[in-house]
Amino acid sequence: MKKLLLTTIILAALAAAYLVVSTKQSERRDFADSTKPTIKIGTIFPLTGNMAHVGKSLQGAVQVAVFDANNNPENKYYYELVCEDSTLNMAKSAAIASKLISIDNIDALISFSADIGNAVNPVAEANKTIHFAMSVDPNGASGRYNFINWTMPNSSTTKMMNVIKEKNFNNVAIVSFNQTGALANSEMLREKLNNAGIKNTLYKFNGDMRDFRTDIDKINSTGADLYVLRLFEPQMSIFIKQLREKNINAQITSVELFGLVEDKSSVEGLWYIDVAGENYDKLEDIRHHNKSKQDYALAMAYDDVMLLVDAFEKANTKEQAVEVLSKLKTYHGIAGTMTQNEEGIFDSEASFRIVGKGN
Amino acid sequence: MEYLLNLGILFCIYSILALSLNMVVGMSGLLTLAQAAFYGIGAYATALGMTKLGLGFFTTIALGMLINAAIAYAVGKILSRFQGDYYCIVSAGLSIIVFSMLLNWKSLTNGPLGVFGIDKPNLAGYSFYSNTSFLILCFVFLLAIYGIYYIIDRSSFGRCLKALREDEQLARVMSYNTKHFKSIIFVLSAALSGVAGALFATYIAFIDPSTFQLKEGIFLFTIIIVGGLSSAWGSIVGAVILISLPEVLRFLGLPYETAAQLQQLIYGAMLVLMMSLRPQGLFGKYRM
Repeated sequence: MKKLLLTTIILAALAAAYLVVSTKQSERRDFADSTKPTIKIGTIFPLTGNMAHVGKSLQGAVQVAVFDANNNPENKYYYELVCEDSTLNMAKSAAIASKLISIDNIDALISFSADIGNAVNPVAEANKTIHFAMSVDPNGASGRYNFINWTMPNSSTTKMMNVIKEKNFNNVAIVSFNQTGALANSEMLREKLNNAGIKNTLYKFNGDMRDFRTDIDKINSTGADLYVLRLFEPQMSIFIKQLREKNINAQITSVELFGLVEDKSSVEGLWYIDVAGENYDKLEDIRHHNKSKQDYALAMAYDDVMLLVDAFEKANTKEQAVEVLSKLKTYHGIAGTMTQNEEGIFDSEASFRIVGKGN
Repeated sequence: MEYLLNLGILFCIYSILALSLNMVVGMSGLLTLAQAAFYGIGAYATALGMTKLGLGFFTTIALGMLINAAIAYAVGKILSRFQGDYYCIVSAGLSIIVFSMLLNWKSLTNGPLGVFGIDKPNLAGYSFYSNTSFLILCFVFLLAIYGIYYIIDRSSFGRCLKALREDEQLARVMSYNTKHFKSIIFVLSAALSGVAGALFATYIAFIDPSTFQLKEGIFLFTIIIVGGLSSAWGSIVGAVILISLPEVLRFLGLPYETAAQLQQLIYGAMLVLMMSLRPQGLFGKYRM
């Protein structure tokens, strides 16, 4: 027993030491005058667990946005981040939101994923705190203080449909993660394919699935000529690898999620429909900051901060900032132009991208 | 203050779950991982009852308890044939089946998109909208369920359950219908878990199947192991520790680039430490 205890303590201490040492100081520095009044922005991203890689890269994007905002001498506020881990747990996220609001005194919140956005929504509304949900579920924007900034499924699936028709695909296999956001997109695409009379099948997989080989055989037997993958990592890379092993020549594409693949060689040269993205130099800047090839939703996270900065700079109080955001019809960010509808959703147009040179 | 109220609500919900689980695991020695399934059914009964059927909160609680009791009765008939590890595996199977149904029975549960817009409870025109009033409501339910646990623990029925836990064969030799006892406690525990589900659904105002996975059942199991098996206080203290420990770690002032990972590391190490120092749990009366 003593040995077990000692081993645990030593291992924990070693891991902790490694984590602390491996945290290099950021290359960026704020030049702004930190005596300015401070606006605190809280983030609730998944920083541990299966989706930690997404949460960490989004955290990098909001960090870069805050650095940029603080380096603008014209801004009247100093911006500060308070980052918390959602662990993708709704109950905890609601408690974290109240911690950020009542203890850290944050002025605005950003959350990631549809279920977490929905769980944080009532807390933000009850505490009159601006909340941006990075979510495809419109419920996340219900109320006065809640907003969504995302390329909604209608835009990305319409763009995908245009390409499918243009390239004359006639049997589409939609391979989707069985989760709120991924399915919202997949099912809308399926509806549009049905309306266009294009043969299609939707295959749903739970998040812990790793061996797709028998399913790939099944999909292949249907004669699918296009695979639309809506899988997160590492499932995406595993699926592509297992598909390639079987020498299946059908075209592979994705809605949004090629941006998550770290080793881009597996998707090199493939086209896909991404969420909005326009300023690729800034995206490269964020990827460099993150030391990662992933660029999934980075533009959205960056723009969320900039939308908040824009609103606070034009206002003197939180209430005024909500007013500014509510009245904003269009905004041009690094994701491109986004348009706000009556529900508080900042929607933007999906982009057609080709993965090239490892980017 | 708001934060503490939110944590208080979570303590109550998880304490209710832990108490109901401890009735089966601690009191009766039956290893079950099905609690997350009954928690989910209770939550969905309230969510769908309130949003689709327009029923009141308290009616949906009763509905959830009834559905849970009926399912537990049917499943309990099969489960009561098993013992030890086998019981655990079959109950884990039930948890997986219920999760899959919540995820894939889209016409009823809305699948992974979940149910949104669940109102706060309302009693005779009084809405439990504020966190303070909701916490009081949760606390009242917790007290009631603690009372039920206390009564069972000291009743002849409770003694039979403990006999079953210590030596089922001997209990059978003494002409006790052990299958019957196992079935009753399983049904009761499932029904009470439904209360926690109903409270959770109205607290978060949105539910989807992701909360009710097998890993939630394992988390509940950890709560009663840390708190102590066969102890009502253990269930409550276990819930308080496992909910509050990660929250306390948020205030350590760790660099936020690695804070989340460090917190998990410390959390894991503390669990190992606690279990090494007190393997029977903090208030445990029985050790597996």
